[in-house]
Amino acid sequence: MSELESVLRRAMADDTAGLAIAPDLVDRVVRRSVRRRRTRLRLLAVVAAVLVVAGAVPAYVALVPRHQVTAGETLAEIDGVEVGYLPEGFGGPPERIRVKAGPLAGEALRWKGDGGFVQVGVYRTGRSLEDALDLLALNLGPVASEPVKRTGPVVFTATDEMWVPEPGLALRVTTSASLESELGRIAEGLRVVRNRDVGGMRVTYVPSGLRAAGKARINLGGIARSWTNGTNDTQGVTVEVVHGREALDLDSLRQVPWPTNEELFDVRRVSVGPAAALQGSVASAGRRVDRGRMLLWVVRPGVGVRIWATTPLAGELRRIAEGVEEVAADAAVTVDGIGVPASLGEPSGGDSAMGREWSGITRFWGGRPGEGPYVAVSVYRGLEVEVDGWFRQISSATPRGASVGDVNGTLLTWKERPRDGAGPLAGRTFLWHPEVGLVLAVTVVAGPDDSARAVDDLADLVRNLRVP
Amino acid sequence: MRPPDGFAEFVAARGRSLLRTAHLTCGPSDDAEDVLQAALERACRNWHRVHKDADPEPYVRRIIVNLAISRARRRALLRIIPTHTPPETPAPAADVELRQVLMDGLRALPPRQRAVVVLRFWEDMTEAQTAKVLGCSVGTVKSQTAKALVRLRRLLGAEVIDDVRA
Repeated sequence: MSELESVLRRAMADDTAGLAIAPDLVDRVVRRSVRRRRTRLRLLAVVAAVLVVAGAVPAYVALVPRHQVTAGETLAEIDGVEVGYLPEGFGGPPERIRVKAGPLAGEALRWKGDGGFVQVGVYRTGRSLEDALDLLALNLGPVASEPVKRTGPVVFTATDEMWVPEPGLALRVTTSASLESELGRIAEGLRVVRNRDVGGMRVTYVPSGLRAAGKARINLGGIARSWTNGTNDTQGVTVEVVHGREALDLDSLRQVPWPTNEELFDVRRVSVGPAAALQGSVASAGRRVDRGRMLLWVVRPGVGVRIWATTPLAGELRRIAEGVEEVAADAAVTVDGIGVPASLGEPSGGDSAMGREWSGITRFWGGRPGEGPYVAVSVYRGLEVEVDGWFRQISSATPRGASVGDVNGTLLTWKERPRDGAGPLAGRTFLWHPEVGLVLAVTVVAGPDDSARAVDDLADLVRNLRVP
Repeated sequence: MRPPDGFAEFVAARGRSLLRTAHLTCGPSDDAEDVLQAALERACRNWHRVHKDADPEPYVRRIIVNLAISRARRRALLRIIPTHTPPETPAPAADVELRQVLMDGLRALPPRQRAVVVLRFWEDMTEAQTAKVLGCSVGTVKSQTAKALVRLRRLLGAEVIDDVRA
């Protein structure tokens, strides 16, 4: 044993020697346990009653039996979660119901068959639920098996388990006793997808019959996402978000190039909420081929949206547009929709920047550049941030590849001297690329004495930023 | 509202030891009693199960350590930003007792590293036992322990270590 370890043991023993438990600890524990249990039982009774009522008036149509399904195929989707596996005979249209689990509210799909039922519940919880420990703390029921990992399942019974695949989202799979052996495969077949977010915007309305065609991708003018009516793609909608100087105003947005040589005809001025917008027909040069309809508007200077729909969906354009909203993490403080830890408090200042095909927003805490130590969180979006070395447009600091807070990215380091003439400060900015068209940057500038703490702060912040 | 059979006896016998673990793993916060109470509540609710086949103490300790890490992470305190009010306790002076310096160093560790140090050197757990409590690999325990000790040495400074050896 090293000298340090030995001294540490003695210090820990000394430090805790005077501690004693409160005389009424057992009473307090028992009282609170009983109170929580009663509350839980009352809530469970309410949930059971709701389920009975929902089951008494089924909203689903006749079930269509189907054969064993291959995992990987998407059989159904609920609130951004895809169901990839269902037992044989459970492939028909599900019933969609509202569900509760203690204080959590969500939606569920419920399949019924001759052999029993399968229910998949999705609970969007916000910051109140971050991992399995939070789930356990809700005391939703007698727990048969506790999770080992933060994302591991809380097993209530052999036919009912719940887990937190990512902060803010809980999933629950419940089956009839006859399908006990299938629960694991159903749970493993669930996939969390974000097929309605694109370039920092969320598409809350998509016409019925359309399904997401792949993930958000780089388009000619911005970051885009498409929905089509299936394999023949005769109908479809593409929502494209344009960042940077190209989206400074409606005129500049109209100049953003098209995938081929289409042009906008019959343009008329409309509105999307309070924003002025343009709507027109898209056709090849000379109007020889009809390419559908487009609606475009500027959400704020530097961020524009273009919605391009096939002609049969022209009547849905306005409704789709009205349903496009800026994405924001469920957090007290956000930077361009990215949630920052509540402990940071209110920012002390902010800044924004824009370039060709990129825009960025920065918030500062503790001070500002040139005013001593500070922390900053920056969010950069657009096509250009996909280009290697893009960060040279925002910083001339020395870059190197690094892993910070278990995330791989680029670390920039530099020295800066505050305006008051105090000693030089060490600056560290870590940039990473969590999804297409998005780069996050955390900056910590600290004095030489705080170097170790600055490294910890940088890692903590990287780890705790929330991309919705 | 009677406690389940054996629960009060367990708290009487092991409560202080568990509180010491909570105090050490909670770091700079005053959460130790809350964390202990929360862990005991969970044990109380599941007492018939945790008490039936095995010693409940490892179960309660595991909850304490994980709750302490979870709470500390949630705070995500930013240590470099100067606060507008001075800290309640003055910074350790040169002649402060070594114990205080060491404990300040321990509390300054990231929550998971602090938990590893407490489990390894206070609870005398093996690396495998520590890994099981924290739900991680033995390799992670080894690396976290090494990092924690390096950081403690660095935080304490060569001068203090020299004093220890003297």
